[in-house]
Amino acid sequence: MSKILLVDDDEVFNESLREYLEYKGFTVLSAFNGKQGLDMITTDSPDLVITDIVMPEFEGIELLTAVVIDSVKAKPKIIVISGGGRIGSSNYLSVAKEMGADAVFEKPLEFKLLVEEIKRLLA
Amino acid sequence: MPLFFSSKNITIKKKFLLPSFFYSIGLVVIFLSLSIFYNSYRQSNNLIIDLVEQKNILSQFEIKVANISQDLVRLLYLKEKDRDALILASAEGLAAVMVDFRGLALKHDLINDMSLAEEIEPSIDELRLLTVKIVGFVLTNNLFQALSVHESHYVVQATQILNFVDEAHYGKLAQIDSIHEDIELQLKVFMVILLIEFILVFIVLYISYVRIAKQLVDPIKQLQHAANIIVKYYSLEEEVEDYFSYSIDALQKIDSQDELGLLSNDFKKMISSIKLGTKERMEVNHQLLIMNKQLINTQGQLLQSAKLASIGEISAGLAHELNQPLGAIKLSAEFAHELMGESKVDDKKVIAKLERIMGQVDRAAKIINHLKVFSRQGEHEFSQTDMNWVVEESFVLLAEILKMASITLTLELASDLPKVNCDYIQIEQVLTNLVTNARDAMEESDDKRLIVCSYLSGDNVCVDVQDRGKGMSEALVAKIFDPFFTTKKVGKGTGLGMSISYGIIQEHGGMLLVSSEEGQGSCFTLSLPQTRLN
Repeated sequence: MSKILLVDDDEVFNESLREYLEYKGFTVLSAFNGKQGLDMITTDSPDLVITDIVMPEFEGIELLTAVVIDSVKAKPKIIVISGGGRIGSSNYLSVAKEMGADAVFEKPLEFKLLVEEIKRLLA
Repeated sequence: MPLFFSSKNITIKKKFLLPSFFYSIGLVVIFLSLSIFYNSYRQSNNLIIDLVEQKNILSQFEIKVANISQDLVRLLYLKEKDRDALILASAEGLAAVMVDFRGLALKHDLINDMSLAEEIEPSIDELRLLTVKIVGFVLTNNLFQALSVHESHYVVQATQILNFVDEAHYGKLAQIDSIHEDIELQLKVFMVILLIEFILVFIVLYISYVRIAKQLVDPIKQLQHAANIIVKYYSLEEEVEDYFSYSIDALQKIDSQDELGLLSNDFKKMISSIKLGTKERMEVNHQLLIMNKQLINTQGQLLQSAKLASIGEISAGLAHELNQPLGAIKLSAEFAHELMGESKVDDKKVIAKLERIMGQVDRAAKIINHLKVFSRQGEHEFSQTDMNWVVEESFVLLAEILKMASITLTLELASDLPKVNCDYIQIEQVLTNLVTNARDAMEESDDKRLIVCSYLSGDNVCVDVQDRGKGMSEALVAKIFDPFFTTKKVGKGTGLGMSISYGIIQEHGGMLLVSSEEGQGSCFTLSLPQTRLN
C-alpha cells in the first residue's frame, strides 16, 4: 500500500484531500507546515509527498529543496500544489518543476487528474 | 434764529470761542450796571449825611433862640439887683450865641440850602437888633419900653423864626425820606435790569450751545450709524454693494464744512476703499472656496486611490486566500459527485461533503465581504470600536500576505482595552499600510518576524507594528511621513501610504509614531485616544 504525505497549512483543504485520497485507497499522512513535513519524510518514509508552496515558517519550495538537494536518502515522488504565489502561481510552479518536482498543480485543481498523476508516479 | 457763530462753515474751535466772547461781554455789562448803581447810591448817601447835619444845626439853632428868649424874659421880669448881674452875663451870652449862630450859618451856609440861609438871615439880624434894643432899654432902666418892644416885636419875630426853622427842619426830614425812597426805587430798578441781563445772557448762551451741540452730535450720530452698518453687515459676508451704499448715504446727511465735515469726507473715502478691498477679498474667498472644494474632492480621491493601492498590495495574498476555500470546495464537490455515483450511496458521507462546501463558501464570502467593506468609497462613520477587533479583522486579508512572504506573525493583544472612537475601515487601511511596509522591509531579512501588539498607554490605546527588517536611518525616519517619499523601487510604491496614514490618524486625534534602528527593524506605533466615560 502506497503511503502519501500531505503537507498543507490549510487544515480544511488538508483534511478534504486526505479523505478523498483515502477514499481512493491510499494511506495518507498529514503535516501542516514544511518543517513537520520534512520531519515526517525522514521518520515515515512516504512514497509520495504532496506539498503546498505558501506556508508559514518553512514553505514548500524549502521543503522541495531539502528533499531534492539535502540528504534525504529515499527520495519520495513530489507533487507541488499552489494557490498562488507572491508574483504569480505559475511562476512558482515552474520554479518548483525546475527544482525537481515530479508534477505541479495549480489550485483549484482537477482532482481526478491529481489521482491519475499519483497513480502514474507510484506505478 | 440763525446766529452767525453757529454757521455750518466755521470750525468747532471758533464755534466755541464766540459764545465765550459773548459771555464775557455779558459779564462786563453786568459789572458796569453794578458800578453805576454803587456810585448813585454813594451820592444819595452823602446827601443824606449833609441833610442830617443841616437838620441838626437847625435843631441847635432852635434851642439857642429859645434859650435867648428865655433869658430875655428873665431879664425883663427879675428884680433889679438880680437883673444887673444877669444882664451882664446874658448880654455877653446872647452876643456869643449870635456870633455862634452866624458862625454856624456862615460855615455851613446852611449847607447847600442858600435860599434858607438868605431867608433866615435878615430875620435873625432883626431879632438880634431887637434883642440889643431890649437889652439897651433894660440897661437904661427904661423897662416899660423894653417890655413893649419885647411883646410887640421880639416875641412876634422870634415866633416867626422858630416857625420857619421848624418848617425847614421838617423839610429836611422829608427830603431825607424822599432820598431814601429814591434809593430803594433805584435798587429795585437795578435788580430788574440785572435779572434781565442775566436772562438775556443765559438765553443767548443756551441757544448757541444747543445749536453747536446739535452741529456736533448730528454728524457724530451719522458717522456712528455708517460705522454700525459696516460692522453689522461686514460679518455676514453677503453682497457688499448694498450696505456700503447705505453707509455712504448715511454720511451724505453731514453737510457741514467743519472738522466733522472733513472727517466724514475721509470716512467716505475709507468706506470706498474698504468696498473695493472687500469686493476683491470676497472674490478671492470665492476662489479659495472653489479650490478648497476641489482639494477636498482630490483628497477623497487620493484616500480612495491609496486604499485601492493597498488592495493591490494585498491582492496576490487575497487570490491565494480565496483559492484555499475554492480548492476545498472543488475537492469536496468532486468527492460528493463520486460518492453519488456509487451503487449504494452513503448519505452521511455526501452530507458531510456538502456541509464542508457550505462552510468553505462562508469562508470565501467572509473574505469577499471584508474586501467589499474595505474598498467602499465615500464617507465612513465613526463608532465606538474595540481596537483588538480592528486588528483581527485586518489580518483576515493581511495574514495571507505575511504567509506568502514567509513572515511569522505574533499577535499580542491586551485584554480589557477601552474602546476608541474611530472609523475602523480607515484604521484598517493604516494597519494594512503598516503591515505591507513591514513585509517589504523584511524582504531580505533572515529573521522574518512581525509582532503586532495592542496595549493601553495612559489615556491612549496603542498598536505597535514591529518588524525585524532593515530598519531606517535617522534621515529616513525624518522623511517617512512626507508625501511622495518612498524607498521602494519605481512602480512599487506611491510614496503616499505613510503620509495618508499619518493624515488619517491625525484626523482621529491620535498619533502615528516611528522608532527605528538601522539593521534592527522598525516599530510603528498607532495611538488613539480612548473614549471617555462620562
